[in-house]
Amino acid sequence: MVLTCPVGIGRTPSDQGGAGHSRRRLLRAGALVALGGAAAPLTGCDPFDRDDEPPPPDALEPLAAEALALEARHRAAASTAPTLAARLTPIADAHRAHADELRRVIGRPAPSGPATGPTGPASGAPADAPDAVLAELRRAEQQGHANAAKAGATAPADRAALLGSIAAARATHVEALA
Amino acid sequence: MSERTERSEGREHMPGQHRMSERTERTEGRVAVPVGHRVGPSNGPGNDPNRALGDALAAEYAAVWAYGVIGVHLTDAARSAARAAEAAHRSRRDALLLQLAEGAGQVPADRAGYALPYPVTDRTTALQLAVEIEERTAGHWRAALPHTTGADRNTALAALTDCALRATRWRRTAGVSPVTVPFPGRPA
Repeated sequence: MVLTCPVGIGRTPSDQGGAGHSRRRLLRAGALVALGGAAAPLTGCDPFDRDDEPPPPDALEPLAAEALALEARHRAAASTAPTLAARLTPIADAHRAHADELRRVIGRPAPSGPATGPTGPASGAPADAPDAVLAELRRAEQQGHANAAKAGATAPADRAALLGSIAAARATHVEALA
Repeated sequence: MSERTERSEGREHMPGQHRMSERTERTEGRVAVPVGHRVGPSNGPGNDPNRALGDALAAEYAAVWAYGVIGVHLTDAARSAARAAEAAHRSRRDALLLQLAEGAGQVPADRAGYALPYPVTDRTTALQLAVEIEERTAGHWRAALPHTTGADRNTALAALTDCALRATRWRRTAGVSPVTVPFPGRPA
């Protein structure tokens, strides 16, 4: 990856001289290339380097994925148990709003790869009585609240308020599903 | 309404000095209404944890006071819930008083009374005020989050969540739907 950086290589042709110095020049060029490569992330001398080293995933990615998964679970449950739709739809909308806001704060598109759909048993759940559907969703919201509160406890200042609202919202969802 | 704006504004404030007078001006300018006191970047607590927690304390004072008004218009389970809510706010208030008294900054004082945003004359207006009190107090705890770390952060998170939960229960009692809001405590 480092060797693709043009910084050092670009200079070598100008001082092509006696063959006796070629090894030293080559070493010097190599040093320049190495320097250029090391500086690449700062100077942007080779944008293709970034493909080799993607930035680490944002700490909020799991929470954003969870928000989308929770949204999907509530939408699925609302279609399974239409009598609950009026209660579940605002909650699904809230999870979508959380996911959008988290994405905005992360500042990068969602990582590509296999779409992480709802991980819970929503799709496999039989058309249960509404009580069972609600109990299942309550458990998911409780877990979601714990995850958001944990993230909020140690988040940097500029993210703390958003995570606090998300944690609080998930707690109120548990209450609304009771 | 980014928190960053809030924090950069805060650097203009010198911690300690003039804090009380600023606060007094701000609240007296709006007749110390327990509800409707705006929570947002324009009057955010700056980059000062004690000031942020002082604002939360002022909100807790108002909440305790308001529940005295709310409770008399409720009966049975709703009145019990109002008593429990008032006790919870007293508890947060007392913890904040203790904590802020240990610091060097000034501790905001309670007031003899607070102007209500509208007449509270019956169950409906009492429940409406209860929802607003909880959302408003949630807003102050939320505003404290960026200025806290560690145990204080956890306390603010728990307080925000408790206020949001009570707001949800009051909406249900009042028959308001939906009973939740997407971002509890966030300024509208």
